[in-house]
Amino acid sequence: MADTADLGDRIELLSMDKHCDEISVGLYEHPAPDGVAEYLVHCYSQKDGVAARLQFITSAMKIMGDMKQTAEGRLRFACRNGHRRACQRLFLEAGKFATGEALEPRSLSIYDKKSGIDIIVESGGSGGYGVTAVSDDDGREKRLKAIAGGLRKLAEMAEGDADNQAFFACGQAHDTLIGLLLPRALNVRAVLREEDAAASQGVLSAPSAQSV
Amino acid sequence: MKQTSPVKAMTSRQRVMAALKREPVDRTPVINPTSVATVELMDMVDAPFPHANRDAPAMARLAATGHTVLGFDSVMPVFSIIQESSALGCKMQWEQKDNWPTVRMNEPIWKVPDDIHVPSDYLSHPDIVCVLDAIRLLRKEFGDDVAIIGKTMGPWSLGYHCFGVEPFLLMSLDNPGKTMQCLERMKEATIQFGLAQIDAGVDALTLPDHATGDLVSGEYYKRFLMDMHSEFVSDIPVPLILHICGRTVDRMDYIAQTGMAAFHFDSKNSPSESAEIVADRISLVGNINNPETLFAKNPEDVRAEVIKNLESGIQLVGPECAIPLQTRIENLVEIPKAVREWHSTHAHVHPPSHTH
Repeated sequence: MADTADLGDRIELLSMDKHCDEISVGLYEHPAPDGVAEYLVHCYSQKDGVAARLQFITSAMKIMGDMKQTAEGRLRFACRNGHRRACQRLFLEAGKFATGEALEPRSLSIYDKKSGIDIIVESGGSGGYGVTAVSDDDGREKRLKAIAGGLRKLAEMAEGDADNQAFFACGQAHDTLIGLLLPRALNVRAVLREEDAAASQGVLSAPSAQSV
Repeated sequence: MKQTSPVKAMTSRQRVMAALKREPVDRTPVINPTSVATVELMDMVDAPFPHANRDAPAMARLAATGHTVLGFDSVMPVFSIIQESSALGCKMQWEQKDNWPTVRMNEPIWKVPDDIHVPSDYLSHPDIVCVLDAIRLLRKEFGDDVAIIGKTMGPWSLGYHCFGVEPFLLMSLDNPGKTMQCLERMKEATIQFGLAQIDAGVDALTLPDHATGDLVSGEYYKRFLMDMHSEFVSDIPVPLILHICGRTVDRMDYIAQTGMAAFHFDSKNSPSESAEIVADRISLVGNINNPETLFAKNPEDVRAEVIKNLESGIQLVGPECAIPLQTRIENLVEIPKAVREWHSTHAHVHPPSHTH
């Protein structure tokens, strides 16, 4: 047998990278000797441009998620927590950028089309974040609660004392990660639908169960 | 399990062929009667879907990974279930790398038995020739070392593709005689393609015939398909592996009477209950669960299912059906690994084994 390096457990897959010849790019998780979860972006294709693409996705995860790269090319969070769910989302989002696209951490504030208000996420220390808004519109509280819930779902964060809070288990700040997740937290249902569709893609059904 | 003296080391091909005849084997073979293609394997050998379903060298390259990368004892180039239907004139949706090609069954090509026509140049259709050429390439590459399994679709599956699922099922209710006529005419496509694959070099053929547990009862199987499947055994002279998805214990006794070499069964049927029903009249191939275990769980879960099969005396181990294209390679390589390790701590097993 050949070609299946011990990469670790594949925890996420971009099955067709539209920015690089439809290659399939995997995110692999492997515990480092010190017990910290490390991640590797890998593809089996030997086509031209693949190495550069993997390097770009890795860079995007560093910039957009504040991950650190080890000498072996793997990624980890400085807080030493795996944050697996957040890392999976970060990888999927990184794969949406075309190679060479300018990358910079996103802001912790965003205009929410649904409510028509500006949303601001503020770090409260100890890995906690609060979702607030410069508005006193009716329904504002409900919307802030929903967005905080979205962040908790996307990054497996814990609840706080208030409905508009979300906490990282590591107790440390992850501003860039929150900035990346915030636009998706506004419509977390769409993210879940996207994940469901991705999971059912490529499953062969018996003819009697096909819809075409 | 019945255990006797060790069997001399076998090649993958010898192992598969012996297990299909329920003869002694050095260890349980791991085979893929349907498909183990994944998007990562496609990348590895630059053979993506849909190209790998329509181009013989790409098809052969991707099929070879079943043995060279995953360590299975067989290779299977016919990943999909649509090659014949394309050649018969069905409207196709070839899809993209990460999805399966399908037949547009809501645009059926036939309505009545007289419409059925297997074209005289059926075996010259590019989607048929592609399979035959891929088999020749694989035989050249692997010689006598690896079992090459082909695939020819049964008439019930062709009925769904060519008539549409609902019209075909309704016809079977309203006019069983007419349905039998259809099956009789369509079986010609099954036999022709099977014989052509034998000429090209296959060792065995999977014969999927989707009289699935969700829509078709065991009695339906007996009424419409049992005798026809027996005829295939006479007409297609290589070991045949019947594949039907879903819960099928209600028809396993009938299947075991057809003379098929093996039945490839779904994880909706437990290995032990299935083994008990077929009672060594045919071999069983199965039945590692696809959507939950191979797709979504970890190697240790795969290993547990492999062991369950081995302990139930299942003659050939493999995924229950065509695996999802996004399945992780580490879960697939775990199947042969688990089989080898199980045998290293258990004596060699000589079928018939269901004496417990």
